[in-house]
Amino acid sequence: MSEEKKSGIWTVITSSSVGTLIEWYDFYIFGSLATILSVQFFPQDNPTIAFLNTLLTFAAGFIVRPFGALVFGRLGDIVGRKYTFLVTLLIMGGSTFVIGLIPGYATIGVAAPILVLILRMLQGLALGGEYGGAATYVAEHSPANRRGFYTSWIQTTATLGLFLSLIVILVTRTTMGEAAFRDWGWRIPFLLSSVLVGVSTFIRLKMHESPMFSKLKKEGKVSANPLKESFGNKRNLKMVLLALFGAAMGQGVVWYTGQFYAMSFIQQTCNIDSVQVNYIIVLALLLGTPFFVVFGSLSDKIGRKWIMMAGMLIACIAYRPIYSTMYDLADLSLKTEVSSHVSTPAITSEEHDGKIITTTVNEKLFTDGTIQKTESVKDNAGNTISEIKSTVLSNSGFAFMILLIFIQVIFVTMVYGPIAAFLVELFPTRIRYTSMSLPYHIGNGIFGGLTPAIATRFFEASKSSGDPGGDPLAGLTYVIIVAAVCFIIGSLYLSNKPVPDEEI
Amino acid sequence: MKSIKKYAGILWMILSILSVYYVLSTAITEISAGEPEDASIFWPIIITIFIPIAIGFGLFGWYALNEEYEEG
Repeated sequence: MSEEKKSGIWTVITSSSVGTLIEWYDFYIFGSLATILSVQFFPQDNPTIAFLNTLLTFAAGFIVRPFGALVFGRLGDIVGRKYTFLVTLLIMGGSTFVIGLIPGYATIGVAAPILVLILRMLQGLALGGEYGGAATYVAEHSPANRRGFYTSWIQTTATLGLFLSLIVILVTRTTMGEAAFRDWGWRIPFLLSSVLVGVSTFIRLKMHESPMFSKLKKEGKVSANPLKESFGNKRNLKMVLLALFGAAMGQGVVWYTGQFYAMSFIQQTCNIDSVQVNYIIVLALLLGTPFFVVFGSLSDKIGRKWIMMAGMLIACIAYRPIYSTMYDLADLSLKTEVSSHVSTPAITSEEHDGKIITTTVNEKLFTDGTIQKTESVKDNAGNTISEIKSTVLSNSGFAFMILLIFIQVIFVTMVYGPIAAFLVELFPTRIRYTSMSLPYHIGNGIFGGLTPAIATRFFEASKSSGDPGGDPLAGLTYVIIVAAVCFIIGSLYLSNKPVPDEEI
Repeated sequence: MKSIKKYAGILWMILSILSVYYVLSTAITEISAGEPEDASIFWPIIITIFIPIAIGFGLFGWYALNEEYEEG
């Protein structure tokens, strides 16, 4: 590859990746703030139901992704890649900005969750069109022997988007304080999106159409009906099904388990302090992200199939021991309290709606350095408004938790690093955008996106009168079954042969 | 390997039928019992999106049984 071509491909990768990263950022601030949003937008009679409803609203964004894949995939195969993912970027940015402006349930009642749901669905539609376009665009600029390496940069954007969302949340939260953040500060990460989208739109406007699509257009070979060609033609439909059940389905659950379920598990089930949760996830992602490129590049040398299959298999075997260790790490019943430790309660008061609200934070110290914080909020009549207990891990516990999440991120990089190149190579240029987007977004959006909601469901179902606490690892059953079935199908039916340039 | 790939198709078709049965029977049990509280919201969403995927899974099994994936 000449120097000129090399610098060209990096411009293509950068301009595509920045936009995709911003879209993931927009999509994930909702997930990262699920606990706060459940308080803001849903009735609080039953906090578990409120949290489940938030997860379902979060999941709605995932469920509509395949529809976005169909709508924008079709557009991308007819009009072109460049203009299609400019439209998706603007829809995503607009929806995110408006979520940051919606008044809460206490102000506008049931209209609040309905508006959030609609905007969340718009976000999902936009994302459904974005990713396939970016992956296709980069792959169509890449030489065959480096396609895994170059497209793996697009693969980092999903994790970096989550990373960016957590950093913005962490900075906002620590700068303004927990109370103000819960009250109104959570809106800032949503509103900030408009600036990021503006910059990204400016960069994308300068991009050129993909050379393969331009050639197709010049020759008059653009598909007139990509949906019919993709799904009405048996030769292509069977590959769509294989891509879904032999790769994308398992990749989706491993992805969301490693990044979202892990976060939800340590926050909800292990009850770890939310700021510490953000630090744990941010550091684990930071350490793990370079491996997307490592595995993407390795897939150019040894093939895509076995890297993805190995990731799924190891994940299936390792999940239960990993989550059991994570649970034990924060389990206070396994720790000894330092009885001689006397904590001085930290008391703060502030006026809210004409009432004086007092927040008292008490701490219990354990011999390994773990701290249990109890934050009680009372009004001026002494009535308790809320009491939140959380665990702050010791330094060694904190480091060990990062390691456990990092291992899961490695599984993510194994299944996700090579998948863009794998999907692109499975379908012809004229219907590529449509054909690769659908299995990817069913796998990620539905199988993956529903992981937190279904896993929470499994956990709730494991509770009984004899075991009111339930099995904290019950949620993993869903993930392990889906990844195991996908591993078997992928191992049996997928090809590991390299695909030369002339065949894509 | 060729015959494993072919006859595994039957397994995928059976799995697709069993998974539809499991989802529908659990949904009916939970919705009629009204427990958990949000069962009537959760299950219709799951059924609507899951049934087409299960049909796709059955179709994948059918293609496998008919040796459509042999050239891969």
